[in-house]
Amino acid sequence: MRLLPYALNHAQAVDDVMRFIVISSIILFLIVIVTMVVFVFKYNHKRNPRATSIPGNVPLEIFWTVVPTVLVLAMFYVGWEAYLQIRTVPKNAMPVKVFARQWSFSFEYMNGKRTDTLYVPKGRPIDCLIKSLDVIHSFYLPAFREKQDALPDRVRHMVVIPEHLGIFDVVCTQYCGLDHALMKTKMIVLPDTTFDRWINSSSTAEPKVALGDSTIYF
Amino acid sequence: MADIALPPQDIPVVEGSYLENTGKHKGLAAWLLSTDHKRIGIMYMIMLFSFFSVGVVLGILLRLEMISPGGKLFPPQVYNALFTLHGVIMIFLFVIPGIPVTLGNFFLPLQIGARDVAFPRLNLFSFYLYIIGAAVILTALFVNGLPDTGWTFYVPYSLRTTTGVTIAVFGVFIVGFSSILTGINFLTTIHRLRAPGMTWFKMPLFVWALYATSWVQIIATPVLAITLLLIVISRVFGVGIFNAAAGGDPVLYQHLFWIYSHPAVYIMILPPMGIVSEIIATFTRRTIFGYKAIAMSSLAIAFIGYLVWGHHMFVAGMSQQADMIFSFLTFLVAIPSGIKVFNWVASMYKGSIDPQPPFLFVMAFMVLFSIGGLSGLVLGSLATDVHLTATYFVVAHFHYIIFGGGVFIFFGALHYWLPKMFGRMYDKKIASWDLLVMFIGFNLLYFPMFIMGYEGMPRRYFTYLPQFETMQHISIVGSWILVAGLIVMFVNLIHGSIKGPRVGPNPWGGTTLEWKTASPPTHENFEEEPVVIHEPYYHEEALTR
Ligand code: HEM
Ligand SMILES: [Cu+2]
Ligand SMILES: [Cu+2]
Repeated sequence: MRLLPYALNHAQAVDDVMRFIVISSIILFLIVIVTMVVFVFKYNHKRNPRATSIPGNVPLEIFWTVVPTVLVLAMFYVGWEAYLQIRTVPKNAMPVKVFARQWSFSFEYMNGKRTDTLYVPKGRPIDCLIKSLDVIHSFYLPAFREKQDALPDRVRHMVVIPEHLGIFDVVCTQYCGLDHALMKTKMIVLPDTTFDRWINSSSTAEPKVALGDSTIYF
Repeated sequence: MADIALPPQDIPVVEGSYLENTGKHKGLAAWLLSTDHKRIGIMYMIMLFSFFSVGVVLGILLRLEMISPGGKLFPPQVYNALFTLHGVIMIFLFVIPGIPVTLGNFFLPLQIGARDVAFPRLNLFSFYLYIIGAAVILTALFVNGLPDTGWTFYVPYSLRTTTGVTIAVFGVFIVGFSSILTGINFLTTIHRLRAPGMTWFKMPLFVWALYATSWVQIIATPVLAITLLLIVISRVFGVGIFNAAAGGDPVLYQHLFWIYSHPAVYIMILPPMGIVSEIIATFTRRTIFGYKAIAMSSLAIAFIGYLVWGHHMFVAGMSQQADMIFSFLTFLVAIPSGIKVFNWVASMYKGSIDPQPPFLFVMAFMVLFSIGGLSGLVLGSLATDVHLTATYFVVAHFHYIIFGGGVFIFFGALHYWLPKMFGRMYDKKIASWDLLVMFIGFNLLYFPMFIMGYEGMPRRYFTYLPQFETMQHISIVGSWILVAGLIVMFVNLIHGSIKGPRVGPNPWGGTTLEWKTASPPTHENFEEEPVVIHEPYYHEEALTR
């Protein structure tokens, strides 16, 4: 059963969940607030000098217990389903080690190559193996709607599927001291041939990126 | 309600009011050594609102830092200390003690027709524990520099930083004991001291709320106390409980911290929920709709509330199963709060509504609390939480719940009960218009944070990217409007309670017991022990169906 169309792109999936919850919430909000305002005007003491005490109404109370219960369970379900996308590591995923330390990120690829900017090939799922070298940090990719804390004592996984070429922000979102706010870098999604050429070359230089023809996301 | 019609000068001055000194002590000592729950309540109020004012000033400074991208106003160290202090003061010194120690102290005995709480001296002792704890926290400011960990004191950072964390944490530990003792005191009071005829289901809903809150305080606070003590032990003796290098577990700290701090959210919000019911019942002139559902949902929230702490840790790397269960339970705990909201609206149906200032505060609460609660659904859902946790979205969410929900009702309750406490009325026109100013300021201040959070603005940042500038500026202007409103409100309330026109015992036509005694009440509360016959919100003149 899928309540929302399945989107391969995780950001899209998160936005769909968001839209579902926000729209239901706005409807609930309007029902509550409009009813309240109508009552406050309609039953103003000038118009309605004598109140009627109604202690309760069982069918009504059951109704407004059951309907929201069903609604929130649906919210739970769609959230859980989309969440599994970033927690289930596909077989063909390319592992990249993500190291966080006060106050920078660094990355290590399969063949031992290290960079301070994250380079990934377009279209291949990336299995980020996230670890901290000191206190707790968090590896956050806003454009992908994903984050995962970096812990000092164990490795955590997060799956990223870069489907667009571009330069994306990487920021730390777990407070880690003085320059927490400056702990950021970029993730650059390259065409996979460019990426392969770079990763397999013996040069230590970082790949050249033509900024002009790629979309820049935050 | 004959006294509503009396011109103020004809209302007799209450003889032997609790505001007059009668005991063996004089002057200030007569207050500082008083075991009268009403005086203790007022002393707490003075302390709490002093801390609140400090917290607000810090909040304004936090916003001011965002006047330009790049954080040029304060250096990072200062900003980090500012949000830590702001959070610690607001949470541990203001909202957690909050309504129970102030209005709870004052009105719990009055609402159940008792002369005092069960253990008046313990009550005074709790007050001094609170003062000592607060003093210890403030000492942390002058030793080794300001703490800079955030109010959550997450390890391993809190173990490494050289700032005054040990002392601050120890202060919070002491304040925790004050909270536990108050909880025990209130529980005993509610069990033992109800007036004849007041069965459980004739208790006012504020009493039910305090009852549920007291259980949370007693059961949850010791976990916090132990956790904080473990931090102190780790820092002072270098024990590696949370230290990964020594085989400890930093995530264990987060579990322990949130096992307390999630239920603590209910310590903050249950008492205001109780007051909402009181105010609605009074100003609609009818009984509350679904009394039992509201009372029981307080208890349900208090108990399910223990089981959802993990929703603060969806990105900490728990197992998928744990994440799933915590998300599921989080959605379940939303339901009793929803039920309360529906019952409150239904309680306005066929009422005879007199929208006096306290009622207007309830209306503002309904808007702000609903926004806060519904944004909580976004955070309860796993996929969206992973994106939004630790961003401004969370900052907006909890300010809407705690400030817009809880603290606005604290203010509403002051407007409701101040005439009882001091026998005088504030300027109602100013109060109503000023609420509108605060409401606008509040939304300008926090609503943009939802949007910035969704666009990826992390919290606890002293700087930001240029694309957020407009939103940040709207939010800053909002903080100024809100503060202007706060100042007017406090001036109006203080002026009203000293110089305002006199009021009689029951200026609003309330039905609960506190309205059946003098304003201000005497030291003994009631001339003779009241006997309860009707349900708490029995309005004689209302039609029944
Ligand atoms: C005019 C009033 C207030 C203003 C302007 C204000 C502003 C802020 C801002 C801007 C932050 C975010 C700092 C950051 O993450 O960079 C913050 C954090 C916080 N605020 Fe407020 N706030 C106000 C009132 C309150 C109240 C009434 C409470 C609680 C009852 C409260 C509790 C907190 C807490 C717990 C934090 C988190 C601190 C941390 O990250 O460790 N604030 N506030
Ligand atoms: Cu950080
Ligand atoms: Cu929580």
